[in-house]
Amino acid sequence: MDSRRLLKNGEVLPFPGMKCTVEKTVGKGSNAIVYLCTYPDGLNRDILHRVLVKELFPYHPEALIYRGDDGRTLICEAMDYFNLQKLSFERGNEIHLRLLEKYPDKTGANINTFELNSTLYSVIGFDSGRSLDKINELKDLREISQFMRQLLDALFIFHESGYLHLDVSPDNILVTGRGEYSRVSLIDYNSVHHIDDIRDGSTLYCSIKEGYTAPETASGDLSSVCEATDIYSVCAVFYRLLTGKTLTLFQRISKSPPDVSLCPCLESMPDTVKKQVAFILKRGLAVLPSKRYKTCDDMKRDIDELISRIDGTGITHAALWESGKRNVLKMIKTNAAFSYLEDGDRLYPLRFESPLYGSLDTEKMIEACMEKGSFLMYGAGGMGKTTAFLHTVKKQSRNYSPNSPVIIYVPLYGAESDGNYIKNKILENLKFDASVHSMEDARDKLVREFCRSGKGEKPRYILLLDGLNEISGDSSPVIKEILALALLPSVRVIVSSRNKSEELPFSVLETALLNEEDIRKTLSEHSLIYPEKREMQELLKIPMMLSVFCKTAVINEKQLQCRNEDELMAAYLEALCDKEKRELSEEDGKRWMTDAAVKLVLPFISAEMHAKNRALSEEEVYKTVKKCYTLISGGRLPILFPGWTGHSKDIKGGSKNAEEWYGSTVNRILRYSMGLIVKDPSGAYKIMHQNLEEYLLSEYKDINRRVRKQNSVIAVSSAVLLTVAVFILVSVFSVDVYDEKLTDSYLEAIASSHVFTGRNISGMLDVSQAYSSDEDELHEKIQLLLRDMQQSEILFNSSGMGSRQNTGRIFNELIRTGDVIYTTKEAITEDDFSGLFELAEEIPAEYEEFVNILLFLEGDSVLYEKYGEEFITRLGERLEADASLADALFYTACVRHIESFRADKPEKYGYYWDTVGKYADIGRNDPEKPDRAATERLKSVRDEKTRELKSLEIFVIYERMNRD
Amino acid sequence: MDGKMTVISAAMYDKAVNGEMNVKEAVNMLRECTQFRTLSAKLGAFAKGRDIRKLLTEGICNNHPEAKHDSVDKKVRNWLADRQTGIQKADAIELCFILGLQIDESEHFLAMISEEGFHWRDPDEIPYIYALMHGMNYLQAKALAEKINCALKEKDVTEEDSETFTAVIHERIKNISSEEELTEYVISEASRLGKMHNTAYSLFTEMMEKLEAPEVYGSDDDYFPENEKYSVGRIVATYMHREDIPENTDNKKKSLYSALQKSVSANWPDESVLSRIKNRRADISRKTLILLFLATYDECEITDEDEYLENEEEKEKSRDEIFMEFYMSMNTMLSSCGFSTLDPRNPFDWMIIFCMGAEDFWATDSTLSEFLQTLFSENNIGNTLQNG
Repeated sequence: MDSRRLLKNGEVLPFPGMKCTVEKTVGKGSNAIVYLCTYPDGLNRDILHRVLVKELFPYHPEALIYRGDDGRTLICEAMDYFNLQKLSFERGNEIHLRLLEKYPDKTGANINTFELNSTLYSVIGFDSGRSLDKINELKDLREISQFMRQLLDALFIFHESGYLHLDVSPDNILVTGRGEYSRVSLIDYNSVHHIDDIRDGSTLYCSIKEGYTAPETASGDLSSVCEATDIYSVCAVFYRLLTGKTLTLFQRISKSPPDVSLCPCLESMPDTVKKQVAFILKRGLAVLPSKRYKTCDDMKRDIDELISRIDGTGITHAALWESGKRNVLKMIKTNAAFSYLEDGDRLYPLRFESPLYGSLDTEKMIEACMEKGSFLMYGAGGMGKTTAFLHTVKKQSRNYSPNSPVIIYVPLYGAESDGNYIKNKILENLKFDASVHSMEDARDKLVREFCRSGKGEKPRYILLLDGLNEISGDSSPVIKEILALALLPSVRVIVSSRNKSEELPFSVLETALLNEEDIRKTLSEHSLIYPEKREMQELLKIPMMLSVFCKTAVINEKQLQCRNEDELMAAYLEALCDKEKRELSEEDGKRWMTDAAVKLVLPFISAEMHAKNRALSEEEVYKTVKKCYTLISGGRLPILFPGWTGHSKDIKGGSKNAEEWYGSTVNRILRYSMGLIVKDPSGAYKIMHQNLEEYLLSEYKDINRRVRKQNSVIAVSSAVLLTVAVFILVSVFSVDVYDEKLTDSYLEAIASSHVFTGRNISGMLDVSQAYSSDEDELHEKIQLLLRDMQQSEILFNSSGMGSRQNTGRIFNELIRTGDVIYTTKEAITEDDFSGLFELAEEIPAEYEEFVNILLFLEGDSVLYEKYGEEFITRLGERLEADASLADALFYTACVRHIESFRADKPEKYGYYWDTVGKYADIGRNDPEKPDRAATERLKSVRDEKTRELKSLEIFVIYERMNRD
Repeated sequence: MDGKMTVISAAMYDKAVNGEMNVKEAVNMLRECTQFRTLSAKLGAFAKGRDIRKLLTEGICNNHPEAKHDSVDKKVRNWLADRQTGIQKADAIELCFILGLQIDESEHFLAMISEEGFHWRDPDEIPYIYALMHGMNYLQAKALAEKINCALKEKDVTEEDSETFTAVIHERIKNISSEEELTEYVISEASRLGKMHNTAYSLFTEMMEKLEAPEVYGSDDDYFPENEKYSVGRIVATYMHREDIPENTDNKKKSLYSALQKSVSANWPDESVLSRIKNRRADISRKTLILLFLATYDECEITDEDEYLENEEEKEKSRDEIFMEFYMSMNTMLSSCGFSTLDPRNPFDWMIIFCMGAEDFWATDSTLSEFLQTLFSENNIGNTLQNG
């Protein structure tokens, strides 16, 4: 029992020049007692200085060192022992003074030391600190980590001066101030030794504190005592702060670091943080000093990394793992469409065929990627490419390991022509510290991180880039970026696409179809029969189709009888609607809303996505939904869906406006309940699968046709009525005119394609007419024609102006902006221009054949004699039919509108007509303005002429000659 | 190599760790080695020229008048004939008095004979320490010990967590000048004394808890039901290598054991011993602690796949580093519990050091098993030590 008698409060210690009065005892150690004292200022006597006074008063179990009767003087009956303690006190004081000299701002003040009462007193500066063992405030992991930084800074000043503290423990750590103004310092210098003294074999006199003393100190192995010895103790303090407990002997001798995963301060922390804490403890508490942190800075670096991970900042391996995992898990959690990924065991077999590596599952695919290099994974829609990617990320993400590659999923759907798309996508979910000033900085850091090699030169990152074929616009910048990333030392890439790409020099993996065994097994698990129809059997080899098939049958609770993909999709959507409605009573109006969400809103969203060729922002989805809401409000229900007549109110479900309706239809029904819409990590919306998107697009076209048809009926019935009706529609029902600029673009696109069609037809006519004249002229005409046809083929297969793809895109955008052309008040439909493109696309191949036959005949006078004239005659008739039809189609699609524009704005459209107009009458027939019926008749005529031409014997002979 | 070792100890240590011998060679070396101290040699080292047999026999008889002279003589003859390799600590303490050893000599003697020196914090041993320091005889020491024990039992002692200053306790006891003072001291400090026993017991408890729940360590036993614990018997069977040592109940076989075999197998923990320790009816022995440490040190490795990947760092450690870590941890454990650290001149310790230094770290357990099986094979039973 400690029976040392303390100095009483009020006791005066008359130090020379400093008469200190004891206020209270603040600390008691084995070597000394510390009092809080005051002394008056020399000038302002009423103002007191506060100081700490450390009195050498060693604890002796039998109280052989005790206070005399005067209550002050120390009496010592164990002088040897006392002298040992005095030596320690003096040495500690000397070290304190030396450190103070070197680091005055980091070391507590040491004012003076006096001899009095047969003992020693050190007067130390007071800064109202508390020892760590008396502090309970540090509960937050970040605060603890910040504290550890400060502790390492405090220890550093010892090490830098060549001293080892050798008694780092909570009772020797002083904390002054609070929060960001707190300061940490180490006190009690009794165990401090200079490293040279330790090395030269001087006796090590230091405290052994259970749970804090390093093994080499406890065992007296002086040769191993070094800076790492103190760091062991620092780490033991770290453990204490985390758990509130001292390390036990078992923990200290165990091979593994102590388990802190259940500490409250780590409860809500990401796995990367927990791993870093475990890593720091493992390294700091290693039994061998050589395996610990060598210096305070070493440990501080890892503490800084810990803080970064807590804050989620930085572009590091751990941060990328964390954000990658978070994104995918969030995607899976917040999108019902991905709920099947929750149970990895129930996924259909995902297999890939590689010409080099054989059959691989997802795990082997990653292994192969790590060892061999980047891959291009291709396969049709629904084959499970996205599933494979998401499943891989999810499976790999269970626990962070700095030695395992981070697998990052990046969707390329809707990627814009941007050389930094992938990097930006990766970075968009990271948080940056102050060293990153711009996105360029961030990208720079990311690339540098990707260049850091892993252990054994293994790659540290695998990028799963999903949907190369879904990139908007020009894909070459993205491909360039992919190639650049794949070249970085620490990166491997797996790109998925529906097709092979010659631009990516990666090994290929083809998604493998399910085999019959897989299908039968899955069907039998759902008690379903293997379909009889061959087409369905083939269809079910596609994993997504099998999934849709089973899901539909299960919902319907009956065997499914579908004949093809479209029927399956239709049945699937119907089943989802039924399932949703099953939970509602027959009278519940929400049943209608469900139908509208699936049969109206969803196709519109699909069409919008298709037009933009990318996922939609929330705003874009809302605008689309608003359009649907308008349609419903505009009394179009009988036209759109006759069965919905009288239920517009139910369909709106009490929504007062489009915004409210948006929440119900898009989020509640389509996304959360049915999983038909997904929201990707960047917040963009898309249909859950491209196959479904394509089906819905056809549904949209059907709806649009009905709308347009209705518009046409209104327009044709009466000119006056039309005007009034349009006026009413415009003013009351909000019928809009098409955007003028887009209308220009649309017409220009059609006109551009027709230019080539016109040239081809004219050219062929010239050739046929030149046939019987000069041979050179004939060949020249043929060359011209072939060149034109080649150019037009390139045009029609591209995405440039005049191509069907481009025209279609403009058309889809155009009809979103309104209902009619502002001059003619007529709506346009896809039929208006599709016929024109069909004709344009057929012509080059056919004409090439005709030219070959002409040359064939030219080369053989006997054949020419027999078949030439008839061939030329029939050819001419056929060409005239082509011309007439082309003119009619062009008129319908374009000319009639340009005429009205020219009338409306001659200064703007006059030139246009001059340029385009000459192609408006290829056949030089100056046709009457044809209507659709007339166009149909012209099509029939053309077909008849084609039959007559191709029935000629010369075709048979020519074919035979080619075969031979 | 531990810098504090003697030259002979260092040589023995090097032989154990240099990896140049296989198990069979190691066992043979152990059998033929003259460097291991025999009991007779150890006793003789403290005889100081006297007739050790006579000295010990007479001394024991004096201390135990009830004992028959012939029995005592036989016991002493057995010791001197190396029919056993160690003596129980309590007996060894008595021999300190009989041999007239000073306190430092007694420390050394105890460590050699019974594997552990004085427990300076043990209230049971402190009276004997005091007695040796003050020239008391054994009977006086025993009486003092009994007196203090009675006084302690009357006092309710609760353990205090305090700063450990071992030097202080040494110094204090050295400064005690009367029996009353000693009694007062032990009673007043009882809450801080006996800590090592508690430390050893706490450690024992933690290690047993780990072994009782093996599924934490990725047990291969796929049929092991959740929440079911290993019994003490199963722990002994699985981890204590009992099956590698022929049954102690076979006295005929046991009588044929060589001194080496006796030395190694002496006090080998069985189910009964572990149960008694668990119930605090017996002290934990050094050998038990070492075997439990070997069992739990390996078992501490988490075999989760991701954790395993982090052990890539482990693969970067050299064999020497892995061994030193193991060795230092073992010695830390022993010294923290008040036992002597591993002694390469002790056959059991030498075997342990050899197995710890096995080529493949994970093979420590199998190496120990093989070592014991070789040592105790039918061919080896009855082989006597060449030199005593």
